Parts: sequence; C-alpha cells; structure tokens
Amino acid sequence: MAESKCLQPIEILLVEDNPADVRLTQEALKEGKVCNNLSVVRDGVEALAFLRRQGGFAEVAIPDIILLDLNLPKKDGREVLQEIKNDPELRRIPVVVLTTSKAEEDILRVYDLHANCYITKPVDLEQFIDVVKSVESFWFTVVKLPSQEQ
Amino acid sequence: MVGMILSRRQSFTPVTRGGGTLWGWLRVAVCILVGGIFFVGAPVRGDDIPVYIGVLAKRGPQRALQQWEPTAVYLTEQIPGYSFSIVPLDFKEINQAVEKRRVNFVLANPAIYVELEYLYGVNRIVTMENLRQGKPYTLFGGVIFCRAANSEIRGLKDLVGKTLMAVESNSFGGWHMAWRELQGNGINPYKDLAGLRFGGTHDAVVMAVLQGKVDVGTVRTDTLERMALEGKIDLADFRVIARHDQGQHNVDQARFPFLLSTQLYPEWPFAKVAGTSDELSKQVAVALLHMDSNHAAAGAASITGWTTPLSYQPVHDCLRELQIGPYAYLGHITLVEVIRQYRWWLVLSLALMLGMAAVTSFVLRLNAKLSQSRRMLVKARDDLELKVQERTADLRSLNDELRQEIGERRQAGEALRRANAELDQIFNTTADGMTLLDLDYNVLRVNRALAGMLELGTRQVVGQKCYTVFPSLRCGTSACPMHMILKGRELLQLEDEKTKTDGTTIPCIIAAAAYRNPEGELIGIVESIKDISERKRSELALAEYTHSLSQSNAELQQFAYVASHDLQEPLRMVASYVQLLARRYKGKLDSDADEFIGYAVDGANRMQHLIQDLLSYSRVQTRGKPFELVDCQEVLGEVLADLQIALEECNAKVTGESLPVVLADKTQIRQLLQNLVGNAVKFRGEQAPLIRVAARRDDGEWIFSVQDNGIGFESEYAERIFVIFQRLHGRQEYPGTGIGLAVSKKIVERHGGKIWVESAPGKGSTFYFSLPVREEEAVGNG
Repeated sequence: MAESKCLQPIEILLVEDNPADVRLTQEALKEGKVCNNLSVVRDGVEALAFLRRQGGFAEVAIPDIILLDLNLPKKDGREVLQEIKNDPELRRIPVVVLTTSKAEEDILRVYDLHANCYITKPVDLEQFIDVVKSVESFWFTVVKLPSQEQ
Repeated sequence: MVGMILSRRQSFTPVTRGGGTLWGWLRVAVCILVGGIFFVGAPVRGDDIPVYIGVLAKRGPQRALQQWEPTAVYLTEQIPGYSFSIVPLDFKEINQAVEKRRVNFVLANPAIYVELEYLYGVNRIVTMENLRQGKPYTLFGGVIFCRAANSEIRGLKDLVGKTLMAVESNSFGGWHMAWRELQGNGINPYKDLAGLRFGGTHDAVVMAVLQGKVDVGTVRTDTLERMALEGKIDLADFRVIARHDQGQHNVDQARFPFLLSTQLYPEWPFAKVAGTSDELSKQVAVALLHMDSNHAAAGAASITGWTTPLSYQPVHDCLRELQIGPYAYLGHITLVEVIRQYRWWLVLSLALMLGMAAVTSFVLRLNAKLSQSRRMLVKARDDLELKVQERTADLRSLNDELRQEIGERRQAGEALRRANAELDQIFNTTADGMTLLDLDYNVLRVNRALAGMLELGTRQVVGQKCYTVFPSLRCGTSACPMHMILKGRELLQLEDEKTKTDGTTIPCIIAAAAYRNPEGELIGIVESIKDISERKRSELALAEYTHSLSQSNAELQQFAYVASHDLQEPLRMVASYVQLLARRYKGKLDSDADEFIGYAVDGANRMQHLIQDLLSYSRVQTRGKPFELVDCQEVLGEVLADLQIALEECNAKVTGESLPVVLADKTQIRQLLQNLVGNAVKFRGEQAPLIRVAARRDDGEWIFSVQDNGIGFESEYAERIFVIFQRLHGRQEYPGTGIGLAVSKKIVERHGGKIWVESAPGKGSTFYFSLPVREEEAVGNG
C-alpha cells in the first residue's frame, strides 16, 4: 500500500466490537491510497471516553472521522451517535455509520440522529473493500473535513 | 129383646137410617103384649086379681104346696083384692117362670134368689125366719161330716182322695156352702176327691155316710140334729169336720147352736119379681112381717115368720167364688148370658154402629162429590199436563240452544285461555328478559328469564319501580330508555349494565319499544333485555387473544429482525474472510483450494440472500401497512425506474395502461409489481422481452395481468412456483432464491385477492392477480 501524505495522516476512529470486522476494515483501508491512522474502540462507552479524552484516552488525538457500528455492547451505536451529535464539542466530527443492517427504520433513525451517512456493510469482500475505498476517497479527498480547517 | 137380637144379626148397611129407634119401640110393644097376655090368661077368684107365688119345690110340688099354700091363703086373707096362689117350680122351671113373669113373687133358696136377682131383677122383700129346734133362725150354714170311726179324716185337707156325697149340685145349703169351704182350703171337689156324688135329700146323704157308702157327706145345718131327734141317727156316730169353733167361722154358740162347718148365710128370701107393682109388694111384705109364729101358715112352712130382708152379699160371695149361678160367666160364658148381661151395652154399641153407619153414608156421599171433583181435577190436570208438555218442549229446545251457545262460549273461552296460556308460555320461555313498564316506571310484567337474570322471584319484581329492581347508570339520566321514549323515540337499542341486588352487574343489550293501547296512546314501554355477559367475555377473550397475538407478532417481528441481524453478522465474517483468503493466497494455493474457496463464498452469499428473503417474506404481514389509495400506474412507473438498468441491458419493453387506483399497501404493491416484472425480465427468451401490464374490472374485483414472452414453463408447475423457495431452474441458470412469487402470493392474499399463472414452455407466461374493489376506490377512479 503506497502511503501518500503520511505527514498528515487522517485520524479515523473505528467503533466496532467485532474483531473480525475490525481486521477486515483494516485490511480494506490498507488497500486505500489515503494515509490514515486508525484508532479502534470496542464499545460505546469507550468511544465516548475516547472522544472526550477521558481515562486512559487523555492523550489521544481528536478523530477526523468516526466509523460507527450500530450494534455495540454497553452503549448502543445509536446512543453514541446521539451523544456525539448533542455534544457541541464533538458534533462537527462526521460520523459514518457502517453497519450490517439495511433495515429501513435503522436508516431513518440514524439520519434522524444526524449521522452524516449510512453505509451497509456488504457481505462480499470485494464489495466491502470497494466501499471502504469509496469512503476514503470521498470523505478524505473530496470532502472538506472540519478538523482540517482548524 | 127380640128386636135387639134381630138388629144385632143384621149387617150394617147405610140403608136404614133410623133403624135403632124403630126396633126399640117394637121391643116395648112386644113386652107389653106378653105381659098383657100373661095377665089376661090367669085364673081369677071372683073379681080378685090373681097373684102367683113361685116356690122352689125341692121335694116335689106336693110338698111345696103343702108347705106354702097356707101362706098364700094367709096373704089372700090379708090383702083384699088379690088372690094368691102357689106355683111349685123345680130348679129348671124357676128361672123361666121368673123370666116370663109367670109368677109375681118367688120364694127360693138364697142361691137361686141371687141368680134370679141378677138375671131378672127380682128383689127380696122379706127373709124367712126358720124354725129349728123350736127357735127362729135367719141364718144357716152347711155341715161337713164323716163317720166318727173314720180316723183318717180330721180336717178338710184329709178329704183329698176321699169320696164325698152332697145333697144336690144346685143345693145351696146342701152343697154350695161345703164346696166353698173345700175350695177355700184348696180342694177342688171335682178333681181332688176320689168321688163326688149327690144323694138327693139331706137324709140320704147322712145315711150314706153312716152306712159307709161314702167317706164324707155334707148337709145343711140342723139336719143331723133333726134326724137325731127323729131317732134316725146317733150323733156320736158322726164327727163334724171343720167345726165352727175350730176354723175361722167363730160363730156365737148362743146365736147358732148347730153343728157348723161353713160360713153362715141368710135364710130363704121372699122376693118380688120384676114387674110386680110396688104397692102390692109392700102389702105382701107387711102381711108377711106380721105373720105370727103360731099361725098355721108359719107352722105349715116350719117357720116362725118373716123378717126384714137380710143382705145376701155372703151368698153372692159364695157363688162368685164357686163361679156358679150368676157368676157362671166367670167360668164360662154363654152367648145368651152375655147378651142378657150386656144388653144395654149391646144396644149402645148398636146405636153407635148405626150412628157410624150414618156418618159413613155421609162420608160416602162426600166421596161421591169428591170423585166428581177429582174427575174435574183430573181433566184440568190433563189440560195442564198438555200445556206443560208444550212448554217443556219449548223450554227444551231453548235449553238446547242455550247449551249449544254455552258450549260455543266455553270453546271460545278455552281457545282464549289456551292462546293466553300460550302467549304467557312464550313470554316466560323467551331466553331474553322481557318486561313491561308503565310510564311511572312501575314494573307491570316481567318474564321468568328476566327474574332469573336478576335472581329474584317474579312477584318480588312486579309492582316495583324499574330503577329499584334493575338499576343501572342510565337511571335518572337522559340516557334512560324510558326517558328517550317519553321524548318521542319509538324504538331504540342500547348497551347497558344492570346491577343485581347482590351488587354484581350484568352487561346487557336493551331493546326498548313504545307500548301503545289500541287507541294509539303511549301507556308504557316494553323492554327486551339480553344478557351479553357471554359476549362480553368472548370479546374480552378475543381482545386478550388479539392483544397476545399482536404481542407475539411484535415479538416475532423483533425476533425476526434480531435473528436476521445476528445471523447476518457471522455470515459476513465467513464470506469476507474466505474471500480475504482467496485474495491473499491467490496463486499460492492449488486449484482445488480455489475451487473450495469458491464454493464456501458462494454458500455464504446464498445464505445471506436467503435470510434477507425470509425476512422480507415475514414482513409482508408484520410490516404490512394499512391500506390507502394507491395509483398503480404511478407505482409501475417507480418500479420501472428501479429496474431501469436491467431493462436497458436486455432491451426490454414494458407497457402498462390504465391501471386503476386501488385501496392497498403501496410498498407491497410496489414489491409485487417489481417482483413480477423482474421475473418477466429474468426469465426472458432469446428475443427482447416484451412485457405487458394490464388491469380489467370483473364484477367486484380488479384482475391485473403481467404478460411476458419469456421462456414459460409447464403448466403442471403452476401451483408449485408459488411455494416458498420452490424453483424450476438451478441457481446456475437463473439467480434467485425462489422467494419472489411466494412473497407476491402473500401480498396478494393480504389484500384479499388471488394470484395464478397461465404458461406454456416457449410461449411465455401471464401472471394474474386479483384485488377486490372497495367502495373508497370509486373516488380515485371517478
């Protein structure tokens, strides 16, 4: 994987409890072009702690983008989303909901909670890699992230 | 007498009216005649009237004349104008002579006198003074004696079984007196003695005893003394039985010195015969009384003279006891005696009978009149009878009519009763409660069902106010049915809850109707009360069931959702990592590995599709939305937009015209159309697919059709293809899980329609589905 712009890697926070999925995502990101730094938290509580730089996360960098799974233990992904978007400090961070569900109500609910976009994880690996690449290219090159403005 | 006898003999016919009087006069005339003849036929001396003295000549007429002629001479001398003569009579003649009044006076023994006195009414005027032993005696008695040597006989009682001789059977002193003594001592001489004989004279009796011919004899007193004086006997040879100083006779010896065995009785009387004049009698009596004891007349008769007449009661007594003489009737009664004795009674009874005869004839005349009256009465009665019969006939016919009418009335009454009973029965048999109320809320009638519902007796309910016996929350408000009917409603039905006396409630449906009289005035309401507790319970149960069902549905939905979600997760892992493996180790593994990996990935993919299809199948019902007006034309447009790429790829042409607006679930209709059109495209043949979507109205439903020119299939699979996961081709040939048509069928059935297909291999297929027309669609289709 060729790394370009490694001087300023994109900080990605992946909130995912399934290690298999984490690995997949990592692999997919590796095939991407954008230089990024992936942080992973396993559940909603950790996610918020990370975002608020609490506990053991005092030194972390604020992520540029959050990849959020919905079905998380402890705090549910929807709750996390809600909290993020309610928090004036955090709501600027774009949240990409990445989940297996393609249920209509989930999609609606998530957008109601002001997620930036909703993506259904494809079953197929190739497709999955494509999706991740798309996210990369769209969100990291096309889109202006607020953090970069700082 | 003759007349009396005659009249007695006659039968009593009411012919002679005054018979009694006639015969009486006749009798008197006869008597006078007889008396006259008697007096005319008598011998006379000079101009003197002859007077006859009848004398009992017990020793013969010569002796009697000898004794008594001087007395007659004496009397003739003493009484001028009369010529007296003696008529000797024996026992047999004396009665007749006296009866016939052939003698004017009679002189006989006391017994005979008594009889004559009784029978013919002779009456004593003087009594004889007898001369015995030189002294006068007016009394005499009887002597019962036996031989002194006979030692067996001491008293009268010893005479039983002995022989006895008396003077004569009709001799007073020579038998009757002794007989009386015997009888007085309980001896019946005619039965208890060995023999009873009569000697004829006093002397004969004495001699018979002396000679032993008999054991006992009886003579009058003084006989023995006289005979002793005459030297014929010796007194010592005899012994007197029942001597006067031994028995009850206690006679004064000085007064009567003779041997005596009986009571003393007065001597012979001189009596006048009935008919003899009292003047003559008096003269005779005086003359006799004055007869001197020395007179030849006295001497001839062996008397000392005459004295005032004694009482002959003792003689009466004696004869009565012996039941002889005038008292013979006591023993036996002869007809003549009866007639003689009771002649006056007979006369009286005769007169009575004649009187009765008169009365009877009177009565019979009345009878005749009565008969006549009766005949008239009978006739009148017959007439009446006839009238009565006529009336009766009338009455009878009237009665029949009446009876018939009564019968009819009764029948009508019966029918009415039956009808009433039937109505009553119906009223009380009806399962729903029924009640009739008047406008004052009083219960007039209540049927058994309602009473039973309230658990009260009908009697407890009738007469009460309805709001007392079956109240509810409607009572007293404008929601009360009575209130509403009073306000003008005729008929209404509402739901209510009645409260029973125990506080529990009955949910019910009340149908109330205005109750009017024949004139049409409102006089009450009739309520039908239906207990819907059951129904309520069912409704409740249903609601609960529905609730539980929807609950379970929700659970299932959730389950399905969660299941699919959770199932998909591991699925994705499998698929993804297998693919990752493929990428990473491509070329580094052998071709078998590639093949293996290929199958694994393929499997995972299919699994995911299946899960998603299942989910969407289940969601047809669970995610089914309520129906709304759906423009099918519009939906088709959307579907075609969705399938645009696929359609362009194969140059497919889809036509759809005048698709209606239906009442449906829009999403599902879209799903349905997408599926059918998608199939048409998928199962295309060599040529470019031509798909026609159409709809036509058939009676109460819309028939849609989706026709293609694809590959078609055998019609025997027409039903199978609608079954879930059933496919007619392998996955390699045509993709898909086989859920599409199953889902379509479910959608169509949810809308109340049917789905079917017509197809032939190589000819394409036409899928039909029907949707029922609903009224609300009319608005959309205008």
